[in-house]
Amino acid sequence: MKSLFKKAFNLITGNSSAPALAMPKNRPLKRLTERELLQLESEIGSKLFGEVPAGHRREFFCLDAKTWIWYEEWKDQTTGKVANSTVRYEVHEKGVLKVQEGARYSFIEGEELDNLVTAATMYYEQVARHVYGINPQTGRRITTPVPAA
Amino acid sequence: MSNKFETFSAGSDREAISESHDVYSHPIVNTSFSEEAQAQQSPVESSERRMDTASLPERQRDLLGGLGVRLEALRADRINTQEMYDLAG
Repeated sequence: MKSLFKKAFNLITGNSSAPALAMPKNRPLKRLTERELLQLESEIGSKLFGEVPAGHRREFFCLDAKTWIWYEEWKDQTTGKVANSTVRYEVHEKGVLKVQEGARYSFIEGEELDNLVTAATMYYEQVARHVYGINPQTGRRITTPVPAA
Repeated sequence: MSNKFETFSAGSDREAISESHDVYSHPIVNTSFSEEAQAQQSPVESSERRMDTASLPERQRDLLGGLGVRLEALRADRINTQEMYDLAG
């Protein structure tokens, strides 16, 4: 117990003479920011609906526990300008609220809600497995995710 | 988060919320997922399913919220693990 306390103390104070706690140099996890993790998740999310049309950029990701984001960007063929559309789905007490630009709000239901839940479930299953290396059914680690560069 | 959206009060009445008219119909609106994809819901949903008689939209909302909570936990766990490695050098 005394030894454990000493190791913990050394970790806090920065004393590096605690070899028992040294991690292998070849660390299994690449350091990623939350933003980078979201980008990795979104790469998976963007492919859930099939191939992204040529000239389009698509993002679909879970921003936080209560918010899902859909973003699509494309070049308008007539004007030549880049157009985009962002949809935010928020989980509220009353239901799932769809928020779009222009102060357009609506609680979704029926097919759109079915599709969102299916997409979110597929997203969770694939992101848990391929980004975090977690078995989505058991919650146990299955492999080392995102190998260090 | 973009500020393209105006502030919305979660307590607003459903009736007061304006109707949505899609300018761009994106795949969440018009995708037909395969039966296989639909079947993937069951393992997660079963663990989230409430024991009461909640309606389908309520269960779907709960499932969506549950998935968000799980994903946030995965992210937090990943970042915490990275910090452990950083601390250990």
